[in-house]
Amino acid sequence: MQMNLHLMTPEFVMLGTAFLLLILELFLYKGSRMVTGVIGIIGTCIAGYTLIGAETGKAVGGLFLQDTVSIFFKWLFLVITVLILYLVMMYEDKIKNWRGEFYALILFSISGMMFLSSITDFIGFYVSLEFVAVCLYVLAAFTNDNPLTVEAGLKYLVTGALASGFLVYGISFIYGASGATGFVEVAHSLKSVDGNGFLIIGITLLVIGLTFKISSIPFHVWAPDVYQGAPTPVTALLAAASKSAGFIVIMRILFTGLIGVKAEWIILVSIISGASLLFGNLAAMPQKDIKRLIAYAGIGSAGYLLMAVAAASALGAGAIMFYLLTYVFSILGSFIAIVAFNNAEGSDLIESYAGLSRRSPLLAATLFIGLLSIAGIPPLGGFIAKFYIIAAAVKEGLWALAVIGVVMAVVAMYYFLLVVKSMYLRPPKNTEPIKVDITTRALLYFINAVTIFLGLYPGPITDWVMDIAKVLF
Amino acid sequence: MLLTYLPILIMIGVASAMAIGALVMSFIFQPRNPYASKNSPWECGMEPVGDANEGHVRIHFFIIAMLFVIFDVETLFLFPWAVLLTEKSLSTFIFVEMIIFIVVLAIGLVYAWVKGALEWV
Repeated sequence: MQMNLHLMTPEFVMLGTAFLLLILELFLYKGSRMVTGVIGIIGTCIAGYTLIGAETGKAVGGLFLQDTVSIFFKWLFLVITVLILYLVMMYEDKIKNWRGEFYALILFSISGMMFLSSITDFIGFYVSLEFVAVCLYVLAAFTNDNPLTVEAGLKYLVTGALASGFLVYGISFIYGASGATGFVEVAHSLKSVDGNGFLIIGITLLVIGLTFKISSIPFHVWAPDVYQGAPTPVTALLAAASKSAGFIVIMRILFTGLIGVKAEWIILVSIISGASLLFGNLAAMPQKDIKRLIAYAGIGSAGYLLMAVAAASALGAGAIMFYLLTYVFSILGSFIAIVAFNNAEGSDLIESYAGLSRRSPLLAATLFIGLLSIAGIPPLGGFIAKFYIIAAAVKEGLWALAVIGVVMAVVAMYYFLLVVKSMYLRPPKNTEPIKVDITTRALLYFINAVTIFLGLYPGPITDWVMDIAKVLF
Repeated sequence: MLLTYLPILIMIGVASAMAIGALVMSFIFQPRNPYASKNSPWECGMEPVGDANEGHVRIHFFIIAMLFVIFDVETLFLFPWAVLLTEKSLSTFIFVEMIIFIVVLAIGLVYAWVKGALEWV
C-alpha cells in the first residue's frame, strides 16, 4: 500500500494550525484574541506555500487523490479561509461570550473541506462531510445569547442530520448495486450491471442528501434562517466554502463514479436545478434583510451550478469551477462590506443601506460590484460564469433549463438592483461617513479588481479551468 | 431482481428464530428458585446501599464519562498496535501514526483540563 503522506501536507498544516489555536486560546489573555486570528492567517499562508507546485498522485492506498481539480479547490478554500479569518477579526467585538474556538473550528471545517476535494471513496466522503458538518453546526449556533442564532443552529443541525441519513442510505444502496465504495470501482462495476431499481433508489437518495450542503431544493429550508441568524463570518463560510465543497463532491461522485448511469440522474438533477432557480430567485424579491436576500440568491446560484452538473460534460465542470471562483470573490467582498456596515450601523436591513454611496463610496461600490456580479451583469466575472453554464446546458440540449436560467438572471437583476437603488438613489437618514480602516480598504480594492478582471479578461482563466476539468471524466 | 436478496431475508428469519427460540426455551425449562440476595442488584461485588432512585448523579458525571470513553478507546487501539509494532515493514509508519493519534487526544485532554471539565465542584 502506497502511503505518500507528503501529498496531504497542506491539510496537515491546516489541522496543525487549528490544534495550535485551540491550545493557544487556553493560555492567552482575554485581551489578545487578535493574535489567534493572525496566527490562523499565517498558518493558512504556510499551507498555501506547501501547495505551490504540489505534485499529483494518490495517497493512503488510493483513498486520497491529489489532481489538478483538487489543487484548484484547495487554493479556493485557502483564499476563502484568509478572507473569512479577516472577517472574524472584524466581527469579533460583536460576539459577547467570545471563545477562541471560533478560529479553530473554522480551520477544522476548512481542512475537512480540503479532504473532501480529494476523496475517491464513499466512506472517506461521508467521514469528511460529517467532520465539516459538525464544525459548522457549532459555528452556526456560536453566539448563543441571541435567540435567532439558537434557532438557526437548531434548524441547521436537524436538517443536516436528516440529510446525512439520506446520504448514508443512498450510499448503502449504491454499494448494494455495485459492490464497491470507491468512485472508480463503482464506475467500473456499473458497466456490467444495468441500471436496476436499487441503483435508482441509491442515486435519488444520494443526490437529495447532497443538496443540503449546496442549499438547493429540497434541502433549502435551513438556508434563509441560518444565513440570517448565524454570525456573519459563518454565513460567509456557509455561502462560499460549504457550497464549493458541496460541488466538488457532487462532481466527483456524479462525474467520476456514476457517469456510466448518467441517464438515471440527469433528469433528477435537472428538476432540482429548475426548481431551485425558480424558488430561489422568486422568493428573494420580497426580502428585507440583506443576509436573507443573499441566502435566497444562493439557492438560485445552486440552481445554476446544478444546471452545469446536469450538462455532465467537461465544459459544464469547467463552468462550475469558474462560477465558484467568481462567486467566492463576489460574495466574500459583499460580506466584508456587510460586516463593515454592520459594525458602524448595527443593522442588516436593506432600507438602512439608504444613501450608503454618500456615506462610504467604497462599501457601496463593493456591494454594487459583488451583488451585480452574482446577478450576472457584464463586464463582471459572474456574467462570464453564467454564460459558460448556460452554454454548457445548451450544448447538451437542456433547452428548458437554459431558458429558465436566462429568465431568472433578469429576475436576479431586479432584486439586486433594489439594494443598489437603496444605496445610490435614496437619501441617507444619517449622513455621518462610515470609517473603513486601511487594511479593509486594500482588501476590498483587491477583491473588486479580481471580480472586474475575471469579467474583462477571463480568457486565460477559463482556458485553464476547462483544461483541468477534463481530469474528472 | 428482488429474489437475489432472498438469502438475506432467510438469514434474518433464522437469526430471529435462534434468538427468540433461546429465550422461549430457557423460559420453559428454567428452574425457578428466587431468594433475597439473588434478586438484589449486583454491583462489582458490593453490598447495595439504599434504593437506586435516591442518589442523584450530577450532570457533570456525563463529561467525565465521555472523557473516560475516549481514553478507553485509545487504550483499545493501543493493544493491536503494540502487537503489530514488531513487524519491520510497518513499524516506523504505524509508530508515527499512533504518536499523532495520541498527541491529538492529549490536546483534547489539555483542553478539557484547562476548561475545567475534570473539576468536581
